[in-house]
Amino acid sequence: MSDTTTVARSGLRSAFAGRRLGRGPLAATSWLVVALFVVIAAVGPLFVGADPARNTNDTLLGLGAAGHLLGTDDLGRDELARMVHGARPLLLVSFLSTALAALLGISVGMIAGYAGGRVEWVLMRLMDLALAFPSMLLIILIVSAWNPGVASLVVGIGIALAPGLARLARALATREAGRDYVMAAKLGGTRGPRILVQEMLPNMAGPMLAQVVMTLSVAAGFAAGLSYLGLGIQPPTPDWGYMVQAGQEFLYTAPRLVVMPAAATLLFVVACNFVGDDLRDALDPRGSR
Amino acid sequence: MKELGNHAVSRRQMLRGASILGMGAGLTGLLAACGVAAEEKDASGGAKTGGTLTLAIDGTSAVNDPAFYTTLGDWMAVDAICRGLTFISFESNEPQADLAESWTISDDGLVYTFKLRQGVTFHDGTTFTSADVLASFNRQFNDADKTLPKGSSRPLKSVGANLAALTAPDANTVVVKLIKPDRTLLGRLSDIGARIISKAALEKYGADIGKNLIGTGPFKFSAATSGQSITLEAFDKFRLGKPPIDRLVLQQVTDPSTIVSSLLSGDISATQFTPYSALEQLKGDDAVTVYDTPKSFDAFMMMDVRRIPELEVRKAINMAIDRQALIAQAFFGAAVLPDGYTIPPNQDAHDPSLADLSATNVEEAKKLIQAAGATGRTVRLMAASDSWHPKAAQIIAQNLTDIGLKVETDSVDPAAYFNRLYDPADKFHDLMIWERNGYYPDADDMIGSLAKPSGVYGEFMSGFNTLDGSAAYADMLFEAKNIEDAAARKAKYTEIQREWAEKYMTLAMLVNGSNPVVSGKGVEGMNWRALGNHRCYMDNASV
Repeated sequence: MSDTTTVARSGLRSAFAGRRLGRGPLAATSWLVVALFVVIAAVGPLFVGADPARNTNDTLLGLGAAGHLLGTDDLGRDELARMVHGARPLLLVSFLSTALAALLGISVGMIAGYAGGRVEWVLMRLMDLALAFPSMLLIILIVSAWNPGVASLVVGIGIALAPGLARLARALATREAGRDYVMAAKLGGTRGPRILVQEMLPNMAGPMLAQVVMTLSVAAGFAAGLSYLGLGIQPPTPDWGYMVQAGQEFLYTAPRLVVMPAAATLLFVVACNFVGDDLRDALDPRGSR
Repeated sequence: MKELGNHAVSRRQMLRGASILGMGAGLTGLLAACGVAAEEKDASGGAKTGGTLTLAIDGTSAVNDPAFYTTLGDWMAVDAICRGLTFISFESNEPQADLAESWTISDDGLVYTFKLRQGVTFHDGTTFTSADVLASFNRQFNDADKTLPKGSSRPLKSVGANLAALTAPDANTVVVKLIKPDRTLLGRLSDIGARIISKAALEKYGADIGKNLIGTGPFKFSAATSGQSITLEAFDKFRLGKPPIDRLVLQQVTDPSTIVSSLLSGDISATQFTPYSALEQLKGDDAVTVYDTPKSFDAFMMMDVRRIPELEVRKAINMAIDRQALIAQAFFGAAVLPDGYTIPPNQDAHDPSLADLSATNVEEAKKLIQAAGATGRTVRLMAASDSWHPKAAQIIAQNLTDIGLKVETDSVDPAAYFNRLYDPADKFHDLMIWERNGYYPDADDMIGSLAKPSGVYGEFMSGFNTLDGSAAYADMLFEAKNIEDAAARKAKYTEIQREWAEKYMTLAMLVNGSNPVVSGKGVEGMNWRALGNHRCYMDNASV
C-alpha cells in the first residue's frame, strides 16, 4: 500500500476521531429509534404469530382485544402483525433507494469533480435537469411507467434523490482533486478510478455519510407517501403508507388504524433526520447551524 | 421573546417545530375524529325556497355531454340540465312521458311516433321542436356527426344500429323506425345518452357543447372546473316549474372521511357516494338521514377466458368467493347475495331460483382446481382503488389462495381502470372486479349487456366472443327483451342466465349492492331512489 493510500484510508476514521455519536438525549433517542425500527423490520415478524394478510370475521376489534393487542382492521387482520410486517417495506425501500441514490449521485459527482471541464459540465447539467423536475412527480413518472412495487419505488426514489448527493460529491471531489495526495497518486501512475475509490472517497466520506443519512429520511417520506397513493407495495401485503390510506375511512370510528402507521412513519423519518444531524455534528463540529 | 425576523432558525429547530406541528395536526385530526365538530342546524324544519344544494360526486372533468361519458358526476350534471323524450323516476320502473307528450307504436313494433310537448323552452331561450330531437339523436347514431367530441362514447349507438329511419314529419312529431322490434326503446330513450340538446347550441358550440350544455331541464349550466365542481342554476322556465333551490352544486369529494365530515357539518347536502364503513355511524347521527337505497347494482368479477381457458377453473373461482364476507366487510351490510345472478332484486326479471349460480362451496372448488391441474397456478386480479373494490379484491385474493391458486393483485387508480379493462394484453387481465349500474331498470340493461358477445364485457373484458356458441347469445338476448309477457320474459332470462353461467362462467357475481344515499336533515323532496342509481332528479328538492 502506498503512503498516500494510507493517508487517504484514514480519512473516515480521523473524521470521527475524538468525537462520539449519540451525545445528548435527542441524538441518543434517535439512534435508538432507528435501531429499534431496523430490528423490528429484520426479526420482528419472527415473534408475531398472526398472519398479517389473513382475513377473519373479527373485524375492527379495539385495542387490547383478546388475542389482538392492537386490535384488528376492517378485514379482521391482526393490527400488531400488520404494524410489525409493515415496517419491512418502508425500511427496505428507504435503505435500498438511498443506497441507489448514493451510488449514482456520488459516482456522478466524483467523476464530474475529478474530471472537470466538459465532462463536469455535461454531468452536472444532467443533474440540474433532474433537479428541475419536482421529485415526487419524477418518482411517480418512473413508478407509473413500471409496475408498482419495491423495485419500481427503489429505482424511482433512488434516481430522484441522486442529484442532491451528486452536487455535494462534486463539490467535495473538486476540493479533493487539488490536494497533494491526489497529485502524488497521479504522478505515481495510479489510474483514475482507483484514485477516486481508494484515495478520494475515504476523504469525502464524513460529510457524504451525513448527507446520505439525511437522504434516508427523505427517501422514507417518499416511500410512505407513494404507498399512501397506492403506488407502493400492493395489498394485502402490509405497508404503513397503504395502511394510512386504507384506514382513512375509519378516521371517525377507529382512528388507531390511521394514527398507528402514521405515527410510526413520522417517528422513523424524524429520527433519521436527527441521526443525520448527529452524524454531521460528529464529523464536522465546526459547522454551526 | 426574540423577533422571528432577527432570529436564525436552525434546521434542527425547524425539525423540532415541524414535529410539534405534526403532532398538533394529528391531535386536530383526532379531535375531529372524536366528533368535536361545529354543527349548525336549520331550525325551521319545513320545505323552503332558495339556497344551494350541494351534492358530493366522484369526479368531474368539466365536460357534460350526453354523447361523452366521463364521470358519474358529469353524467349527473347532464341529467339535471337536459331532459329526454321519456323519463323513468326510479320510484316506478315504467317509462313516462317527458318531452314527448305521447306516443304510438305500430302493430309490428317497428314504428314509434312521438308527439312532442309544445311550449317547452331551452335554457338559451329557443323553443323545443323535432329539429332538436333529430340533432341530438344524430350525435348518438352517427359517428360522423360534426358536433361529436373526440373519443365520444355515444351510449345510444346500439339503438342506432337497429335504426331504419329517424324522421320529423313536422315540428312536433318525431318518427323512429326500427329494423327489428325493441321493447326496451322507451326505457332506453330515458337514458342520459338520449337527452335532448338545443340544436341552436349545437350549431353554436359544436364539439364543445360539453362545456356549454343547453337543455330543457330544471337546472341550467353556470360553471364547471375540472377536478373541483359543477355549478348549476335553477331554470325559471322549467316546464314543471322553477325548482325550490336556487343553485345545485356538484362538488368533487373523493376522500371518504371528508365525505362523512362534510355531511355532518352540512357542507354537503347529500350524496350517494357515502363510504360504506360510515353508514352505521351516520345512521346514529341526528344531523343526517340515511336512506334505505335499493340494492340495484351488480358487483361482479369478470374472468378472461383467454387467460383462464378451463371452465372448471372458472367455476372453481366462482365457488370460492365468500360473498357473506364481501357483504359484511366490503359493503358493511349495504348489499345482498346475488340470488338472481345478474338481475338485481329491484327488477321485474329477478329470479331467486338462480341463487345456486352464486353459491359458495370451497371444498368443491378445491376439487375442481385439483382436477384441472391448476393447483399453484398464478392468477392476477385487478380492481379499482376506490370504494368497495380494493377490499373485495383482498377478500377474493384470500378465497382463491385457499383453494390452491396463487394470486397477484393490482389496485388501480380509478381514472386509469376503465382503460385497462379494455386492454386484453394487460398483465392483470385474468380477473377484473367491476360493477354495473343500470342506466334504465330493465334486465336488458344488465344480463342483456353482460352476456352480449360483443362490446366491453363480451369482447374486451372476458373474451366470451372467442368461445364456441357465444354468437347465438346476441339473438337470444334480443329475443328475450322483446317478449311482451313479463312472466314469459322473466322465464326466458332465467333460462339464458343459467345456461350462460353453466356453459361459460365468464362472470362471477359478487353481490347486489346499493349506492347508499345520505342527506342532511334539512334536505327535503329529493328523489333519493334515483340518486341511488346515480340519477340527479333535484327538481323538487329543498334545503
